[in-house]
Amino acid sequence: MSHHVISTRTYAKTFQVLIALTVLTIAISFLDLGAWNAFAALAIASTKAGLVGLYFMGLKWANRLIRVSLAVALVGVVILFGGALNDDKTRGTQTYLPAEERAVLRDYRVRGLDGLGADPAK
Amino acid sequence: MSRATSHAVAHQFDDAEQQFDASVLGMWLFLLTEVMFFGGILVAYAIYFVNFTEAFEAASNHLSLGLGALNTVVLLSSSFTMARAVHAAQAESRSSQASWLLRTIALGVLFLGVKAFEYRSKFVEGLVPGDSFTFEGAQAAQHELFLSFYFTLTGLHAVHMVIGIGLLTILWWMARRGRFDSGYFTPVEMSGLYWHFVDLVWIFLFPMLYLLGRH
Repeated sequence: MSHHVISTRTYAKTFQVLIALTVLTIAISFLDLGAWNAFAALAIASTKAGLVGLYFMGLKWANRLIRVSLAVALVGVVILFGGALNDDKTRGTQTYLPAEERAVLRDYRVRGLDGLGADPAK
Repeated sequence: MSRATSHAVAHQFDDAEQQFDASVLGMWLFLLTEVMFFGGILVAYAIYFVNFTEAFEAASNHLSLGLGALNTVVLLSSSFTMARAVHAAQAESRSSQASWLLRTIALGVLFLGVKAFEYRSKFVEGLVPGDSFTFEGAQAAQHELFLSFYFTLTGLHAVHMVIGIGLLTILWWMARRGRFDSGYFTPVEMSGLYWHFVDLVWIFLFPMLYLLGRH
């Protein structure tokens, strides 16, 4: 179905929703939601990316081979982010942090999760 | 191969549809390598963001929200005009193909113009990382790091835009010569996928860079 002709009305509607979501993400960025700011921004950006992919890039009508390839790549991205962030937060190798903070993290690593919350000076 | 047969079905394909599907798959595989390319830089950004959240939020306010938002609208519009160009090729309208492509090129150039203006103001304000970085507020080193990410990410994105505009210019010239119709518009479709991908990257860059510290 690669030659599926998408109606110009679908394109126009997609475009309108993309603009609306842009306005929404700007509006939300002015609210102080703590860590939810980043979450909201990421969720809206992902929704916009999904719309561009589905309608402008025609993924909605793409064959299974392309969908599977895309899914594999997205799983790869999740592993990349999940693995790297997890590593960074648990290994105490952040050379850009002050030495004392690094020592605290290294201490947690040596003593395992039981060490979390304990006073590192002791 | 003569011009008349340049888009005939190559011998390894059963028919034109299979040949087109192979091109689409190839283009997607290329775009997925691009996802990994930008993904590597984005994960580095994510690590520094979670470690220096406050500094990155403050540094984000060095950027102009108005210009960033304007460029977002410009790029989304250009994706719309690009989609219309593909549609026009499918509908066999030679003049409207060329005109939608031309509008896409114009929006792409406008985006780069706004970007150039933003870059210039960063030089004027002494916010370009390196010897010319003169910001001396709290956590200046982290501000410099944020701006390094800003220039790396938007710079690579802009390089993709320049390449895209080059591709579209060739397409525009080909479209004017009537090279595409409903039976053959592979280059328009492939360049469209590329153009939408570049738009997609910006969709993530905009909130990451411009919207962190507004609250």
